[in-house]
Amino acid sequence: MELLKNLSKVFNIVFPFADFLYILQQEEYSSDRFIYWLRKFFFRRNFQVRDNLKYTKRVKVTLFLAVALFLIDIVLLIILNLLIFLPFNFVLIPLYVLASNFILNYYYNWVKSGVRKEAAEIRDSMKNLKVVTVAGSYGKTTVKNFVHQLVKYSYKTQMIPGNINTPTGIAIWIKNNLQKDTELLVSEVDAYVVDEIGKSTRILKPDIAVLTNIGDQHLIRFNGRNELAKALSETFVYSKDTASLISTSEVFLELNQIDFGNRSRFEVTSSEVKNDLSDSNKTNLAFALKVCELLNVEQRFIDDALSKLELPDRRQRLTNVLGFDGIDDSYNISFTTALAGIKEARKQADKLKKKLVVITAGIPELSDENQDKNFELGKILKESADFTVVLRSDLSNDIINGLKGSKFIVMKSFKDFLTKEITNFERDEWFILQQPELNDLYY
Amino acid sequence: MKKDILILFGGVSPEHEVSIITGLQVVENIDRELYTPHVIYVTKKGEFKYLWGMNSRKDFDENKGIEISFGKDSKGGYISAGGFWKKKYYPSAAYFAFHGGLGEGGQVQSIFESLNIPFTCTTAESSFICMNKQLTKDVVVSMGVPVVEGISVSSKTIRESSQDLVKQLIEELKLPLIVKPVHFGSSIGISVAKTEIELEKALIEASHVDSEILVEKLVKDFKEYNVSVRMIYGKIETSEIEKPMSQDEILSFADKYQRGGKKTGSGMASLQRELPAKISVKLQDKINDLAKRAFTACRCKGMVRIDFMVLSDDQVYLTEINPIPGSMSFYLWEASGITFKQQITDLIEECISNSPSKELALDYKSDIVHKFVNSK
Repeated sequence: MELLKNLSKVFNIVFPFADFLYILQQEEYSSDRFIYWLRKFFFRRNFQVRDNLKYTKRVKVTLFLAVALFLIDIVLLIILNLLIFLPFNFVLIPLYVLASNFILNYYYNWVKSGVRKEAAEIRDSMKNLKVVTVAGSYGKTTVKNFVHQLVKYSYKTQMIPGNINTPTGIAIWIKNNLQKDTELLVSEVDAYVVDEIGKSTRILKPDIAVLTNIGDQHLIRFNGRNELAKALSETFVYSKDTASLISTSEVFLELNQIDFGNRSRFEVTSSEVKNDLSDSNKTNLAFALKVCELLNVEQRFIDDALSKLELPDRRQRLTNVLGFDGIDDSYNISFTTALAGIKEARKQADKLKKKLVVITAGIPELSDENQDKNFELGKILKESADFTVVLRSDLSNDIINGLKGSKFIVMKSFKDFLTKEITNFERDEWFILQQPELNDLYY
Repeated sequence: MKKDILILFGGVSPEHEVSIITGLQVVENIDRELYTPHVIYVTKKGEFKYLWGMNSRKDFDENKGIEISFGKDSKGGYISAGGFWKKKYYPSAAYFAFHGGLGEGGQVQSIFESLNIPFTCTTAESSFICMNKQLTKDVVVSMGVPVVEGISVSSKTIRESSQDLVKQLIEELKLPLIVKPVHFGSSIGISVAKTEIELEKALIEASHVDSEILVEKLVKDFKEYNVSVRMIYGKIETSEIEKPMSQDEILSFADKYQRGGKKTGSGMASLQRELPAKISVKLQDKINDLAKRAFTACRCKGMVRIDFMVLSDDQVYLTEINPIPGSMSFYLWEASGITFKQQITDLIEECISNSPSKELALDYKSDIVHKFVNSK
């Protein structure tokens, strides 16, 4: 078994197709993002540690084409009597993978466009269907879930589940799951690039569009906040002409240069909500209640739902984390959500009279505008946490600089922490806040 | 010579996955010395697919299947499979392992009756009755089988005036109440309502999944008992009686198919149960008697499972009849000394021997078409 493992590693050094397909898969087949990571990984091999390449149909096709290009190149070298350059072919394998993805993207984009068109036609054919979309840097899933809990007894409602929020994901879901007699569809929409939310919104054509906030997540993908704001505003721009737009005054102010036509605007604040939710979730609930108001949901159903409101999983929800009382925030992370999670965890820990330990690998995808956020995170943890476990990602040095003077340890990985250190923490004494470990690209 | 037997499962139904489990259990246990099984899987979209080379559950996952069609010619009813070189099979019988939806509700049975292909489960007529909880109650009451007091309402009424309806139901039946979609089995969509708002929500939720909803008085502190009934060679037999163990107030879909099923992948067979149930002879006789009466009242044939609620030896109420029970209730018959393989054989031979003769088809001679065609 050990011999097989070592042989496999050697094979991967010589033919690292799997490693570079892994990067592609982690970055959802974006050639731009692949090129970004090539700077770090071009000469690295065997870096699939925390996860492995999944051999999906798309991966197999991309692999096939990449290997074909590689072999064609070798044949050309033979024909041209240039075999002396053969070793370079092996070094340049990442570029064959890139070329293969680049070519195949034309085909897959064409297929996706067809799927989106079909989904849009299905939505258009349902004249009585109302659609609510939720966009924003954070809070989308929470708002979507709140809306569903509040409206489902007034309308036959379907909610696009989980984290299906890309144009293709939404389109496939509509094709396979949208029922003909559904009266209300609730969906979140997200973007990694400009016009991605636009594509989703052109399928869904919402009657009510919610934009929770313009935050600080994935800023590096958008080359800054202005582009991010433009991308998020697409949920308003491409909604129905008669749509109701819901957001905060800050967001509407930031977007005041964009023309939303005659669409009605509704501003909400967290002060409208009397509840013992965290501040961010009060605002999320305010969005959901405004949606209810616009849909004329009966008050008795609202009151009943509010009495047993549930947060979606892994959204600052008190739960069992590794056998401890804790909050599992390992879903995704931005500076704003990290702060909210730390604040809530501190509050819960104090309530339970326990000490707080935070496990963090840092905040990824920062841009020039917010590159100091990991240092700031360290400083905040120094003030708020009784102990910090820093996972040694590329971002950890900044966190450690912020943490100086407080109690912390640095671990190679989350698995390392579990096997070597967790027994030093007593369940009765400690409350855990778990932030995302991040994928192999950050190590 | 071996007989060709179709085994059908799947279908457009909330119990689609449960049906796959039952169907695969039949595939694994059918006597291949006597029969050549032909497996037909109905997808969630209602497509009928012939699955080649099915010998065990492991052959299912990767099996894409090919489309089939049905027909009837001078040789009888057939299925046609196989792409360009369409191959026809004239089956001796079909073994139905559907749960819920059109496969258990009588619609697929109607097709097979039209094609004159015998099938193991109960008739279309009986399926329509048994798969409608209200109809079942109306029919069995006529044979002296007690049922719980309840009212059935249409989904349309619920959607139009849920508040008024709730007041009316509470006045007539009194809380707490249990709300059941009339056409669904396996405890899908069933809710208990203890307050007015809970009742309204339960009715609305149920109205989203079914056209007719049954509201009954909630019976507390009861014990559930199930018994299987079958008619083989003209004789109605009952199996051992089981008492299923429930963690929830009512036996839920999770109880039936997920708590045990996740560990063993065995569906209904792996539910925790007391089998045979430790009950008095008097109660045993009463349950068997009521089960046989209900079987007859609902015009059943083949094998069904009948569920009862028992408050005392004298207070026994029929809950529902399952025309095609989960795992074919093979565990109930095994406890009675009949192996699953034997049970499958019995049902197949029973339906073949009882199938209507082709020669019995009545011939109506009439000239009305000729007159009509030549009238202008």
